[in-house]
Amino acid sequence: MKSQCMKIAMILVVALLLFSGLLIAGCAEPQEVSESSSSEPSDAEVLAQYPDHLDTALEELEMVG
Amino acid sequence: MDVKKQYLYLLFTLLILLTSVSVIAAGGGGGGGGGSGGSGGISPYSDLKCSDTGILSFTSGAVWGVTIDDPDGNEKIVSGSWRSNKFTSDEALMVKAGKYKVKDPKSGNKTVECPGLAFSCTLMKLQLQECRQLQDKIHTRFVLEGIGTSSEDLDYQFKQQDSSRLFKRSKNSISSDLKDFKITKNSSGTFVLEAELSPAIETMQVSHPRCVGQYYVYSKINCSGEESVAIPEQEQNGQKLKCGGYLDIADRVKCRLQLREEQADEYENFFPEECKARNNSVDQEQCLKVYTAVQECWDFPNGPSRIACVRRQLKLGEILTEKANCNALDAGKRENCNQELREKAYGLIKFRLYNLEEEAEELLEEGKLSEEEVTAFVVRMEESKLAFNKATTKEERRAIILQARKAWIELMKKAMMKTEVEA
Repeated sequence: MKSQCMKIAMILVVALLLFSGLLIAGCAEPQEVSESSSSEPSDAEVLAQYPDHLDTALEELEMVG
Repeated sequence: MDVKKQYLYLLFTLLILLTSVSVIAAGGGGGGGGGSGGSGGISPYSDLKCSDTGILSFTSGAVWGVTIDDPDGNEKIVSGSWRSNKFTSDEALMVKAGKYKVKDPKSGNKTVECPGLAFSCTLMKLQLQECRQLQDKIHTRFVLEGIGTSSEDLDYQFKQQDSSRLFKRSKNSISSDLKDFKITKNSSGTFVLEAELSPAIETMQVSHPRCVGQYYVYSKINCSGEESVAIPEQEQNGQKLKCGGYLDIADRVKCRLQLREEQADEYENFFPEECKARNNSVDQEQCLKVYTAVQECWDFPNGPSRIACVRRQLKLGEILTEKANCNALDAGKRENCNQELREKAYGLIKFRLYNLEEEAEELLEEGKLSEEEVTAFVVRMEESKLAFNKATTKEERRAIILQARKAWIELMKKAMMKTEVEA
Protein backbone atom coordinates (compact mmCIF):
# COMPACT_ATOMS: atom_id res chain seq x y z
CA MET A 1 0.00 0.00 0.00
CA LYS A 2 2.69 2.36 1.05
CA SER A 3 4.75 1.70 -2.06
CA GLN A 4 1.64 2.28 -4.22
CA CYS A 5 1.14 5.61 -2.54
CA MET A 6 4.77 6.49 -3.09
CA LYS A 7 4.42 5.60 -6.76
CA ILE A 8 1.42 7.88 -7.16
CA ALA A 9 3.25 10.64 -5.32
CA MET A 10 6.28 10.25 -7.56
CA ILE A 11 4.13 10.37 -10.71
CA LEU A 12 2.41 13.48 -9.44
CA VAL A 13 5.71 15.17 -8.56
CA VAL A 14 7.06 14.41 -12.04
CA ALA A 15 3.83 15.78 -13.54
CA LEU A 16 4.21 18.89 -11.43
CA LEU A 17 7.79 19.35 -12.54
CA LEU A 18 6.79 18.91 -16.18
CA PHE A 19 3.93 21.36 -15.77
CA SER A 20 6.22 23.94 -14.15
CA GLY A 21 8.73 23.46 -16.95
CA LEU A 22 6.05 24.08 -19.52
CA LEU A 23 4.91 27.20 -17.69
CA ILE A 24 8.44 28.57 -17.49
CA ALA A 25 8.90 27.90 -21.21
CA GLY A 26 5.58 29.64 -21.84
CA CYS A 27 6.72 32.65 -19.83
CA ALA A 28 9.66 33.18 -22.15
CA GLU A 29 7.36 33.77 -25.11
CA PRO A 30 5.69 37.02 -24.02
CA GLN A 31 9.19 38.53 -23.70
CA GLU A 32 9.65 37.95 -27.41
CA VAL A 33 6.27 39.57 -28.05
CA SER A 34 7.17 42.61 -25.97
CA GLU A 35 10.48 42.85 -27.81
CA SER A 36 8.74 42.97 -31.20
CA SER A 37 6.13 45.44 -29.87
CA SER A 38 8.89 47.90 -28.95
CA SER A 39 9.41 48.43 -32.70
CA GLU A 40 7.09 50.79 -34.58
CA PRO A 41 3.43 49.67 -34.47
CA SER A 42 1.64 49.01 -37.77
CA ASP A 43 -0.97 51.45 -39.11
CA ALA A 44 -3.70 48.94 -38.30
CA GLU A 45 -2.48 48.62 -34.69
CA VAL A 46 -2.44 52.42 -34.35
CA LEU A 47 -5.97 52.79 -35.70
CA ALA A 48 -7.20 49.97 -33.47
CA GLN A 49 -5.95 51.82 -30.40
CA TYR A 50 -6.62 55.37 -31.60
CA PRO A 51 -9.42 55.24 -34.22
CA ASP A 52 -9.67 58.32 -36.45
CA HIS A 53 -13.20 57.57 -37.75
CA LEU A 54 -12.13 58.84 -41.15
CA ASP A 55 -13.51 55.69 -42.80
CA THR A 56 -16.93 57.11 -42.00
CA ALA A 57 -15.83 60.47 -43.40
CA LEU A 58 -14.85 58.76 -46.66
CA GLU A 59 -18.22 57.00 -46.77
CA GLU A 60 -20.01 60.30 -46.16
CA LEU A 61 -18.00 61.89 -48.95
CA GLU A 62 -18.88 59.00 -51.24
CA MET A 63 -22.58 59.47 -50.51
CA VAL A 64 -22.71 63.17 -51.37
CA GLY A 65 -20.06 63.17 -54.08
CA MET B 1 -9.96 4.15 3.60
CA ASP B 2 -6.71 5.34 5.04
CA VAL B 3 -4.95 5.07 1.70
CA LYS B 4 -7.78 6.84 -0.01
CA LYS B 5 -7.52 9.67 2.49
CA GLN B 6 -3.79 9.92 1.92
CA TYR B 7 -4.34 9.91 -1.83
CA LEU B 8 -6.92 12.67 -1.60
CA TYR B 9 -4.65 14.72 0.66
CA LEU B 10 -1.83 14.36 -1.85
CA LEU B 11 -4.07 15.42 -4.71
CA PHE B 12 -5.27 18.46 -2.75
CA THR B 13 -1.69 19.52 -1.99
CA LEU B 14 -0.77 19.11 -5.62
CA LEU B 15 -3.74 21.21 -6.71
CA ILE B 16 -2.70 24.02 -4.41
CA LEU B 17 0.87 23.81 -5.70
CA LEU B 18 -0.28 23.93 -9.32
CA THR B 19 -2.58 26.87 -8.66
CA SER B 20 0.14 28.90 -6.95
CA VAL B 21 2.60 28.20 -9.78
CA SER B 22 -0.02 29.35 -12.34
CA VAL B 23 -0.72 32.54 -10.43
CA ILE B 24 2.99 33.37 -10.13
CA ALA B 25 3.54 32.69 -13.83
CA ALA B 26 0.54 34.76 -14.90
CA GLY B 27 1.66 37.64 -12.68
CA GLY B 28 5.01 37.78 -14.44
CA GLY B 29 3.52 38.12 -17.92
CA GLY B 30 0.70 40.58 -17.47
CA GLY B 31 1.85 42.80 -14.62
CA GLY B 32 2.22 45.83 -16.83
CA GLY B 33 -1.51 46.37 -17.11
CA GLY B 34 -2.26 46.73 -13.44
CA GLY B 35 0.94 48.44 -12.39
CA SER B 36 0.39 51.68 -14.22
CA GLY B 37 -2.60 52.79 -12.13
CA GLY B 38 -0.73 53.85 -9.04
CA SER B 39 2.25 55.50 -10.72
CA GLY B 40 0.02 57.74 -12.89
CA GLY B 41 -0.63 60.33 -10.15
CA ILE B 42 1.94 62.81 -8.88
CA SER B 43 2.55 62.70 -5.15
CA PRO B 44 2.15 66.08 -3.40
CA TYR B 45 5.14 68.41 -3.76
CA SER B 46 7.24 65.88 -5.71
CA ASP B 47 7.14 68.39 -8.61
CA LEU B 48 7.74 71.49 -6.47
CA LYS B 49 9.87 73.90 -8.48
CA CYS B 50 10.71 77.51 -9.09
CA SER B 51 11.77 78.76 -12.52
CA ASP B 52 13.98 81.61 -13.70
CA THR B 53 10.81 83.30 -14.98
CA GLY B 54 9.76 83.70 -11.33
CA ILE B 55 7.06 81.01 -11.48
CA LEU B 56 6.40 78.72 -8.52
CA SER B 57 4.57 75.45 -9.26
CA PHE B 58 3.66 72.30 -7.36
CA THR B 59 0.96 69.66 -6.98
CA SER B 60 -0.85 69.55 -3.68
CA GLY B 61 -3.46 67.26 -2.16
CA ALA B 62 -5.90 70.14 -1.82
CA VAL B 63 -6.55 73.61 -3.21
CA TRP B 64 -5.72 76.48 -0.83
CA GLY B 65 -4.68 80.15 -0.79
CA VAL B 66 -0.93 79.94 -1.37
CA THR B 67 1.34 81.93 0.94
CA ILE B 68 5.12 81.88 1.10
CA ASP B 69 7.98 83.23 3.14
CA ASP B 70 10.55 84.86 0.85
CA PRO B 71 14.35 84.58 1.47
CA ASP B 72 14.14 87.64 3.74
CA GLY B 73 11.43 85.99 5.85
CA ASN B 74 8.59 88.20 4.63
CA GLU B 75 5.22 86.48 4.22
CA LYS B 76 3.55 86.96 0.84
CA ILE B 77 0.33 85.81 -0.81
CA VAL B 78 1.10 84.21 -4.18
CA SER B 79 -1.37 84.79 -7.03
CA GLY B 80 -1.81 82.05 -9.60
CA SER B 81 -4.15 79.33 -10.80
CA TRP B 82 -5.07 75.78 -9.81
CA ARG B 83 -5.64 73.06 -12.38
CA SER B 84 -6.33 69.49 -11.18
CA ASN B 85 -4.61 70.15 -7.84
CA LYS B 86 -1.57 71.69 -9.57
CA PHE B 87 -0.77 75.25 -8.65
CA THR B 88 1.08 77.54 -11.06
CA SER B 89 1.86 81.05 -9.87
CA ASP B 90 1.73 84.12 -12.04
CA GLU B 91 4.98 85.04 -13.74
CA ALA B 92 7.77 87.18 -12.25
CA LEU B 93 6.77 86.71 -8.59
CA MET B 94 9.86 84.90 -7.22
CA VAL B 95 12.27 87.70 -8.08
CA LYS B 96 15.07 87.23 -5.56
CA ALA B 97 17.30 84.14 -5.65
CA GLY B 98 17.25 82.01 -2.49
CA LYS B 99 15.18 79.68 -0.34
CA TYR B 100 11.41 80.17 -0.25
CA LYS B 101 9.09 78.46 2.23
CA VAL B 102 5.70 77.28 0.88
CA LYS B 103 3.30 77.42 3.83
CA ASP B 104 0.85 74.55 3.52
CA PRO B 105 -1.50 74.41 6.54
CA LYS B 106 -2.36 70.75 5.87
CA SER B 107 0.85 69.02 4.72
CA GLY B 108 3.31 71.28 6.52
CA ASN B 109 5.83 73.76 5.16
CA LYS B 110 7.97 72.94 2.13
CA THR B 111 11.17 74.66 1.04
CA VAL B 112 12.16 75.42 -2.52
CA GLU B 113 15.26 77.04 -4.01
CA CYS B 114 14.55 79.78 -6.56
CA PRO B 115 17.23 80.77 -9.09
CA GLY B 116 16.06 84.40 -9.19
CA LEU B 117 14.31 86.22 -12.02
CA ALA B 118 16.31 86.00 -15.26
CA PHE B 119 13.56 86.39 -17.87
CA SER B 120 9.99 87.62 -17.88
CA CYS B 121 7.30 88.01 -20.53
CA THR B 122 5.04 90.14 -18.35
CA LEU B 123 7.79 92.67 -17.68
CA MET B 124 8.89 92.84 -21.33
CA LYS B 125 8.14 95.82 -23.53
CA LEU B 126 8.14 95.13 -27.24
CA GLN B 127 6.80 97.75 -29.61
CA LEU B 128 7.30 98.40 -33.32
CA GLN B 129 7.53 102.08 -34.13
CA GLU B 130 8.17 102.20 -37.82
CA CYS B 131 8.34 100.04 -40.95
CA ARG B 132 9.33 101.31 -44.40
CA GLN B 133 10.24 99.57 -47.61
CA LEU B 134 12.10 101.58 -50.21
CA GLN B 135 13.68 100.08 -53.31
CA ASP B 136 13.81 96.54 -51.97
CA LYS B 137 15.18 97.75 -48.64
CA ILE B 138 13.34 97.26 -45.37
CA HIS B 139 13.90 99.72 -42.54
CA THR B 140 12.18 99.23 -39.19
CA ARG B 141 12.50 100.59 -35.69
CA PHE B 142 11.35 99.01 -32.44
CA VAL B 143 11.60 99.22 -28.66
CA LEU B 144 12.71 96.23 -26.63
CA GLU B 145 13.05 96.42 -22.87
CA GLY B 146 13.02 93.89 -20.04
CA ILE B 147 14.99 91.39 -18.02
CA GLY B 148 16.99 88.90 -20.08
CA THR B 149 15.86 90.25 -23.43
CA SER B 150 17.99 90.36 -26.57
CA SER B 151 17.06 91.46 -30.09
CA GLU B 152 18.80 88.28 -31.32
CA ASP B 153 16.20 86.10 -29.56
CA LEU B 154 13.23 87.70 -31.30
CA ASP B 155 11.24 86.33 -34.25
CA TYR B 156 10.83 88.75 -37.17
CA GLN B 157 8.18 88.17 -39.82
CA PHE B 158 7.25 90.07 -42.96
CA LYS B 159 3.96 89.37 -44.75
CA GLN B 160 3.91 89.81 -48.50
CA GLN B 161 1.30 92.16 -49.93
CA ASP B 162 -1.92 90.45 -51.17
CA SER B 163 -0.56 87.07 -50.19
CA SER B 164 -0.30 84.89 -47.09
CA ARG B 165 3.40 84.29 -47.75
CA LEU B 166 5.69 85.09 -44.83
CA PHE B 167 9.41 85.87 -44.79
CA LYS B 168 10.85 84.93 -41.42
CA ARG B 169 13.96 85.40 -39.39
CA SER B 170 14.45 83.64 -36.04
CA LYS B 171 17.52 82.93 -33.93
CA ASN B 172 18.31 79.77 -35.89
CA SER B 173 16.86 80.32 -39.36
CA ILE B 174 16.24 82.94 -42.01
CA SER B 175 14.25 83.02 -45.28
CA SER B 176 16.53 83.04 -48.32
CA ASP B 177 14.74 86.17 -49.63
CA LEU B 178 15.89 88.18 -46.61
CA LYS B 179 19.40 89.41 -47.30
CA ASP B 180 21.89 91.55 -45.36
CA PHE B 181 19.76 91.28 -42.23
CA LYS B 182 21.18 93.42 -39.44
CA ILE B 183 20.01 94.92 -36.17
CA THR B 184 21.69 97.81 -34.42
CA LYS B 185 20.91 99.72 -31.26
CA ASN B 186 20.85 103.49 -31.63
CA SER B 187 21.77 106.09 -29.04
CA SER B 188 18.16 106.58 -27.90
CA GLY B 189 17.96 102.91 -26.95
CA THR B 190 15.67 101.84 -29.78
CA PHE B 191 16.62 99.09 -32.22
CA VAL B 192 16.96 99.55 -35.98
CA LEU B 193 16.46 96.60 -38.31
CA GLU B 194 17.61 96.75 -41.91
CA ALA B 195 17.42 94.08 -44.59
CA GLU B 196 17.06 93.60 -48.32
CA LEU B 197 13.75 92.14 -49.44
CA SER B 198 12.34 92.34 -52.98
CA PRO B 199 8.63 91.36 -52.65
CA ALA B 200 6.35 94.20 -51.54
CA ILE B 201 5.64 93.92 -47.81
CA GLU B 202 2.29 94.70 -46.23
CA THR B 203 2.81 93.99 -42.51
CA MET B 204 5.69 93.27 -40.18
CA GLN B 205 5.61 91.47 -36.85
CA VAL B 206 8.12 91.05 -34.07
CA SER B 207 7.56 88.55 -31.25
CA HIS B 208 9.40 86.64 -28.56
CA PRO B 209 9.22 82.83 -29.01
CA ARG B 210 9.21 82.25 -25.24
CA CYS B 211 6.19 84.51 -24.86
CA VAL B 212 3.77 83.04 -27.41
CA GLY B 213 0.64 82.29 -25.41
CA GLN B 214 -1.17 83.90 -22.54
CA TYR B 215 1.18 86.92 -22.32
CA TYR B 216 0.71 87.96 -25.97
CA VAL B 217 4.08 89.70 -26.24
CA TYR B 218 4.22 90.76 -29.88
CA SER B 219 3.82 93.82 -32.01
CA LYS B 220 2.60 94.33 -35.59
CA ILE B 221 2.80 97.31 -37.89
CA ASN B 222 1.83 98.08 -41.47
CA CYS B 223 4.78 98.84 -43.70
CA SER B 224 4.70 101.93 -45.90
CA GLY B 225 6.42 102.29 -49.20
CA GLU B 226 6.91 106.02 -48.86
CA GLU B 227 9.51 108.15 -47.13
CA SER B 228 6.98 109.27 -44.50
CA VAL B 229 7.10 107.68 -41.09
CA ALA B 230 4.16 105.37 -40.30
CA ILE B 231 1.67 106.96 -37.92
CA PRO B 232 1.79 105.48 -34.41
CA GLU B 233 -1.81 104.22 -34.61
CA GLN B 234 -0.73 101.63 -37.11
CA GLU B 235 1.14 99.70 -34.47
CA GLN B 236 -0.99 96.88 -33.11
CA ASN B 237 -0.12 95.31 -29.82
CA GLY B 238 -0.44 91.63 -28.95
CA GLN B 239 -2.29 92.44 -25.73
CA LYS B 240 -5.15 93.72 -27.87
CA LEU B 241 -4.93 91.26 -30.75
CA LYS B 242 -4.37 88.14 -28.58
CA CYS B 243 -3.85 84.77 -30.28
CA GLY B 244 -5.81 85.64 -33.41
CA GLY B 245 -3.43 88.46 -34.37
CA TYR B 246 -0.24 86.49 -35.01
CA LEU B 247 0.78 86.46 -38.67
CA ASP B 248 1.81 82.80 -38.65
CA ILE B 249 -0.79 80.03 -38.22
CA ALA B 250 1.74 78.01 -36.15
CA ASP B 251 2.01 80.88 -33.64
CA ARG B 252 -1.78 81.26 -33.48
CA VAL B 253 -2.18 77.53 -32.78
CA LYS B 254 0.68 77.44 -30.25
CA CYS B 255 -0.77 80.50 -28.54
CA ARG B 256 -4.25 78.92 -28.23
CA LEU B 257 -2.79 75.70 -26.86
CA GLN B 258 -1.19 77.58 -23.98
CA LEU B 259 -4.29 79.43 -22.90
CA ARG B 260 -6.29 78.81 -19.79
CA GLU B 261 -9.90 77.73 -20.45
CA GLU B 262 -11.44 81.10 -19.68
CA GLN B 263 -8.96 82.89 -21.97
CA ALA B 264 -9.66 80.49 -24.85
CA ASP B 265 -13.31 81.53 -24.95
CA GLU B 266 -12.45 85.19 -25.60
CA TYR B 267 -13.56 86.36 -29.02
CA GLU B 268 -10.06 87.27 -30.25
CA ASN B 269 -8.83 83.83 -29.29
CA PHE B 270 -11.84 81.88 -30.45
CA PHE B 271 -11.58 82.74 -34.11
CA PRO B 272 -11.27 79.52 -36.11
CA GLU B 273 -8.64 79.44 -38.83
CA GLU B 274 -11.22 78.22 -41.32
CA CYS B 275 -13.37 81.31 -40.69
CA LYS B 276 -10.36 83.62 -40.76
CA ALA B 277 -9.61 82.46 -44.30
CA ARG B 278 -13.10 83.33 -45.60
CA ASN B 279 -13.09 86.21 -48.06
CA ASN B 280 -16.03 88.31 -46.94
CA SER B 281 -17.68 89.16 -43.65
CA VAL B 282 -20.95 87.35 -44.50
CA ASP B 283 -19.07 84.11 -45.12
CA GLN B 284 -17.04 84.65 -41.96
CA GLU B 285 -20.21 85.24 -39.95
CA GLN B 286 -21.77 82.05 -41.31
CA CYS B 287 -18.61 80.08 -40.56
CA LEU B 288 -18.43 81.42 -36.99
CA LYS B 289 -22.10 80.53 -36.48
CA VAL B 290 -21.40 76.89 -37.33
CA TYR B 291 -18.34 76.73 -35.06
CA THR B 292 -20.21 78.36 -32.19
CA ALA B 293 -23.13 75.95 -32.64
CA VAL B 294 -20.97 72.82 -32.40
CA GLN B 295 -19.14 73.98 -29.26
CA GLU B 296 -21.76 72.38 -27.01
CA CYS B 297 -20.98 69.02 -28.66
CA TRP B 298 -17.62 68.89 -26.82
CA ASP B 299 -19.64 68.18 -23.67
CA PHE B 300 -20.54 64.78 -25.13
CA PRO B 301 -18.07 61.91 -24.92
CA ASN B 302 -16.00 61.27 -28.00
CA GLY B 303 -18.02 58.93 -30.22
CA PRO B 304 -21.55 58.50 -31.60
CA SER B 305 -23.24 60.88 -29.14
CA ARG B 306 -20.86 63.72 -30.05
CA ILE B 307 -21.37 63.10 -33.77
CA ALA B 308 -25.15 62.95 -33.23
CA CYS B 309 -24.92 66.37 -31.57
CA VAL B 310 -22.98 67.79 -34.54
CA ARG B 311 -25.54 66.34 -36.95
CA ARG B 312 -28.29 68.05 -34.97
CA GLN B 313 -26.45 71.38 -35.03
CA LEU B 314 -25.81 71.08 -38.77
CA LYS B 315 -29.41 69.91 -39.31
CA LEU B 316 -28.09 66.88 -41.10
CA GLY B 317 -30.14 63.67 -41.01
CA GLU B 318 -29.32 60.38 -42.72
CA ILE B 319 -27.42 61.36 -45.85
CA LEU B 320 -28.90 58.72 -48.15
CA THR B 321 -32.47 59.54 -47.08
CA GLU B 322 -31.87 63.25 -47.52
CA LYS B 323 -30.31 62.63 -50.91
CA ALA B 324 -33.36 60.59 -52.01
CA ASN B 325 -35.61 63.42 -50.81
CA CYS B 326 -33.58 65.97 -52.81
CA ASN B 327 -33.71 63.82 -55.94
CA ALA B 328 -37.49 63.54 -55.63
CA LEU B 329 -37.82 67.32 -56.01
CA ASP B 330 -38.45 69.26 -59.23
CA ALA B 331 -35.44 69.77 -61.45
CA GLY B 332 -35.20 73.45 -60.45
CA LYS B 333 -34.99 72.77 -56.71
CA ARG B 334 -33.04 69.51 -56.91
CA GLU B 335 -29.58 70.98 -57.43
CA ASN B 336 -30.00 73.53 -54.62
CA CYS B 337 -31.15 70.81 -52.26
CA ASN B 338 -28.21 68.55 -53.14
CA GLN B 339 -25.78 71.47 -52.78
CA GLU B 340 -27.09 72.24 -49.30
CA LEU B 341 -26.82 68.58 -48.36
CA ARG B 342 -23.22 68.49 -49.62
CA GLU B 343 -22.30 71.55 -47.56
CA LYS B 344 -23.76 70.00 -44.41
CA ALA B 345 -21.98 66.70 -45.02
CA TYR B 346 -18.71 68.55 -45.67
CA GLY B 347 -19.26 70.34 -42.36
CA LEU B 348 -19.52 66.98 -40.60
CA ILE B 349 -16.41 65.65 -42.34
CA LYS B 350 -14.44 68.75 -41.29
CA PHE B 351 -15.71 68.34 -37.75
CA ARG B 352 -14.14 64.87 -37.73
CA LEU B 353 -10.77 66.55 -38.45
CA TYR B 354 -11.48 69.15 -35.75
CA ASN B 355 -12.23 66.27 -33.38
CA LEU B 356 -8.79 64.76 -34.03
CA GLU B 357 -7.23 68.09 -33.03
CA GLU B 358 -9.08 67.94 -29.71
CA GLU B 359 -7.99 64.32 -29.16
CA ALA B 360 -4.38 65.31 -29.80
CA GLU B 361 -4.74 68.13 -27.26
CA GLU B 362 -5.99 65.63 -24.69
CA LEU B 363 -2.92 63.48 -25.29
CA LEU B 364 -0.81 66.59 -24.78
CA GLU B 365 -2.47 67.14 -21.41
CA GLU B 366 -1.79 63.50 -20.53
CA GLY B 367 1.88 64.04 -21.36
CA LYS B 368 1.85 61.53 -24.21
CA LEU B 369 2.69 64.14 -26.85
CA SER B 370 4.81 67.28 -26.84
CA GLU B 371 3.51 70.77 -27.51
CA GLU B 372 5.54 70.95 -30.75
CA GLU B 373 4.05 67.67 -32.00
CA VAL B 374 0.49 68.76 -31.25
CA THR B 375 1.01 72.25 -32.68
CA ALA B 376 2.33 70.78 -35.95
CA PHE B 377 -0.60 68.36 -36.13
CA VAL B 378 -3.25 71.02 -35.44
CA VAL B 379 -1.70 73.24 -38.12
CA ARG B 380 -1.89 70.32 -40.56
CA MET B 381 -5.55 69.68 -39.73
CA GLU B 382 -6.39 73.37 -40.10
CA GLU B 383 -4.63 73.44 -43.45
CA SER B 384 -6.50 70.26 -44.43
CA LYS B 385 -9.82 71.98 -43.71
CA LEU B 386 -8.80 74.98 -45.81
CA ALA B 387 -7.69 72.68 -48.64
CA PHE B 388 -10.97 70.76 -48.33
CA ASN B 389 -12.89 74.01 -48.85
CA LYS B 390 -10.79 74.87 -51.90
CA ALA B 391 -11.03 71.38 -53.46
CA THR B 392 -13.25 71.11 -56.51
CA THR B 393 -13.51 67.35 -57.01
CA LYS B 394 -14.41 64.33 -54.91
CA GLU B 395 -10.96 62.84 -55.60
CA GLU B 396 -9.22 65.93 -54.20
CA ARG B 397 -11.37 65.80 -51.05
CA ARG B 398 -10.71 62.10 -50.68
CA ALA B 399 -6.95 62.68 -50.96
CA ILE B 400 -7.16 65.35 -48.23
CA ILE B 401 -8.95 62.96 -45.86
CA LEU B 402 -6.37 60.23 -46.53
CA GLN B 403 -3.51 62.67 -45.90
CA ALA B 404 -5.16 63.65 -42.62
CA ARG B 405 -5.32 59.97 -41.69
CA LYS B 406 -1.61 59.61 -42.46
CA ALA B 407 -0.80 62.58 -40.21
CA TRP B 408 -2.96 61.10 -37.43
CA ILE B 409 -1.24 57.71 -37.67
CA GLU B 410 2.21 59.35 -37.59
CA LEU B 411 1.24 61.33 -34.50
CA MET B 412 -0.31 58.39 -32.70
CA LYS B 413 2.77 56.27 -33.39
CA LYS B 414 4.77 58.90 -31.51
CA ALA B 415 2.32 58.73 -28.60
CA MET B 416 2.44 54.92 -28.55
CA MET B 417 6.23 54.76 -28.71
CA LYS B 418 6.51 57.31 -25.90
CA THR B 419 4.05 55.37 -23.73
CA GLU B 420 6.01 52.17 -24.39
CA VAL B 421 9.35 53.74 -23.47
CA GLU B 422 7.90 55.06 -20.21
CA ALA B 423 6.26 51.68 -19.34
